[in-house]
Amino acid sequence: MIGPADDELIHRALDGALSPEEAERFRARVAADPAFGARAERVERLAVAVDRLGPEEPPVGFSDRVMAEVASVSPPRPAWHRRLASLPGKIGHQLFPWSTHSSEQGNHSSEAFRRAGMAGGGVIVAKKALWGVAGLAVVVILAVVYFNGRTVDQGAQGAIGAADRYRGAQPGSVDAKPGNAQAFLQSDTFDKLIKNKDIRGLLGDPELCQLLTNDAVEKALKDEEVAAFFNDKKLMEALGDADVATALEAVEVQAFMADAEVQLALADDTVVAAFQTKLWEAAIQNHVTMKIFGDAEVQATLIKRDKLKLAKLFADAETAVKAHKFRGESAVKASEEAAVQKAGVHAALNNQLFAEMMADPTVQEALNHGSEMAIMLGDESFQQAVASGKVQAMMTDDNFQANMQAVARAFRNVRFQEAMKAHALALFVDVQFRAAMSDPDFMAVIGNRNFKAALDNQAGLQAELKKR
Amino acid sequence: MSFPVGEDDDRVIVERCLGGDTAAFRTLVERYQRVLFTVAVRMLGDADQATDAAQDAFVSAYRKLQTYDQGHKFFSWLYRILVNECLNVRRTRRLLEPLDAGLASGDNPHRTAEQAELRMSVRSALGRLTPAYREVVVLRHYAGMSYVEMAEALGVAEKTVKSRLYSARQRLGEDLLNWKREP
Repeated sequence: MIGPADDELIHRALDGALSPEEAERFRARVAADPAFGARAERVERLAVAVDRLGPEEPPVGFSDRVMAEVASVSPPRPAWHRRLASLPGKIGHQLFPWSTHSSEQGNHSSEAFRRAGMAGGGVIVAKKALWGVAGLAVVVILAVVYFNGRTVDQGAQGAIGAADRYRGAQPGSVDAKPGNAQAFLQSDTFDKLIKNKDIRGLLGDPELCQLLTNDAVEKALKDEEVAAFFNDKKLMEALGDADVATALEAVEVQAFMADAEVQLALADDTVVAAFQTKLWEAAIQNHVTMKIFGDAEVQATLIKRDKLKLAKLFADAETAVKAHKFRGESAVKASEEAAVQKAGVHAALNNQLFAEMMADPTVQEALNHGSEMAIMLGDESFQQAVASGKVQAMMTDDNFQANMQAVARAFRNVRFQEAMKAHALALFVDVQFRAAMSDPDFMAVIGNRNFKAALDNQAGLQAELKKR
Repeated sequence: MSFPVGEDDDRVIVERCLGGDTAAFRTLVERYQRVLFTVAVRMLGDADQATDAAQDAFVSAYRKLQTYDQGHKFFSWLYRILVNECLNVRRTRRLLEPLDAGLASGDNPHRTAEQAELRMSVRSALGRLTPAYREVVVLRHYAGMSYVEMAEALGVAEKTVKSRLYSARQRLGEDLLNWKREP
């Protein structure tokens, strides 16, 4: 009897949509079940008949006719230009005086667009997108003012930028030092990043943008070995492994990984070395051994054996607390920055530098990357991320650029995000921890059912640690 | 049957067009004219109308090139424009009735009579499918698109694509090969 599931299998086989395992199952089924084989054969016969009709050839000269018609219509213009050209009132007039909607200027539009190297008229678009673009400009201008640490000499910066380009420096050669938002937007780095689909997706995620401004994340991502860690194929595969995923999703494992003492312990080379030994691996496979390890008294005894190490752990913990305090101060500073940005919106909209910068062809070129870019420009998180000196510093870092796809992939991983929220990312700057996490044996340990069971008995271990 | 696609390259060409290089659009026309015309012929069943629909689709795509979302495949976007053009043609000629397969072009006089008859039968059977069923068959068999690509182009879920394709093939099988009607 052939059921709907069988039919689906046959059609998917015909369409080349089976996995190797399914294909194997399909072949075995055809060989073993004559009714199934006959069903598959009749579907194939139909497909052959349909395919035999083949493609149709377009009439001779079809492409010439299309191109002749294309030549007679107005060339398409980038989405950003439409949006900027439709900026209302004073700002729109300042930026694109030729594209004003008033009739008195209408006669000059063609000439002005030719001068600007663009053709066609302005089109009114959704206000949201429009203000999104304006918003980015505001953030960028404020970032320039803020990070340069001085009041901008109105008009001077735009003139200097223009002069630099006139001298022959290409957009890509602009020095994108952290903090200079205009230079950053004009840089090769920004161009490269924004053309990268993964990075665009990354910057479009508000939560991830927030994480990128975190000191610990920034530090970790700029570390060469962390970059190598992100590119570790085995680790990425381990993160994608169903068993490891299940293990990492387990409350007890998350609590274990997020625990400060556990993290510090994992940062200790002897502990990590222990995890990496085959003896340990064999031990955790053994129910009896795990039961012993899970016993609070045994754990306490093991800890008592090395008091010096315990003292070291507490000393490290004090450093960690200081680092945490620093992160807290940074968060306050960020919120103050946000408040300044909001308060300065009106003033910035009337700032001459805003007009000059947005009218700058190089900036426009940097911003010109299709509708997806336009959506990103309207995203508040993206605006804040780009305006952040930290994000700029990180993105201009050679290691980050070299590994940005791997980083983006890691950031997209839900479990990795969870780990970062638990401040576990700080661990990644530790060589031993990275070595452990890159080790398939260690990942096997994390995913081991017995190991998780042993973790259930963490209470005794924690109590003992606190006593000391 | 599959058609040449080059989505990475497509995006570069689109950028060039948006930068004012109109001639670059010819590459896209030449790359997709065959598949677009084939789809139009299969959807409309009329070579002249298919020519108009495909041509209008290309011109329309050029006009609104700045709205193309580069996160998606260019052909998927182009295909949706073509579908709208085909719908416009249908509206103007009130083409809700079955297609007249005999009007479609593409016959090769050198092929055998048997082959010609089979091709005619397939065309007729395709013409008797509902538009929703017909388009999945066309996209799968004449555009070589995967389930995922079809779902993107049609704006429906992948499982809907599969379901329509299986049902369409069942109808074609009943029509062409005398399959027993499924309950």
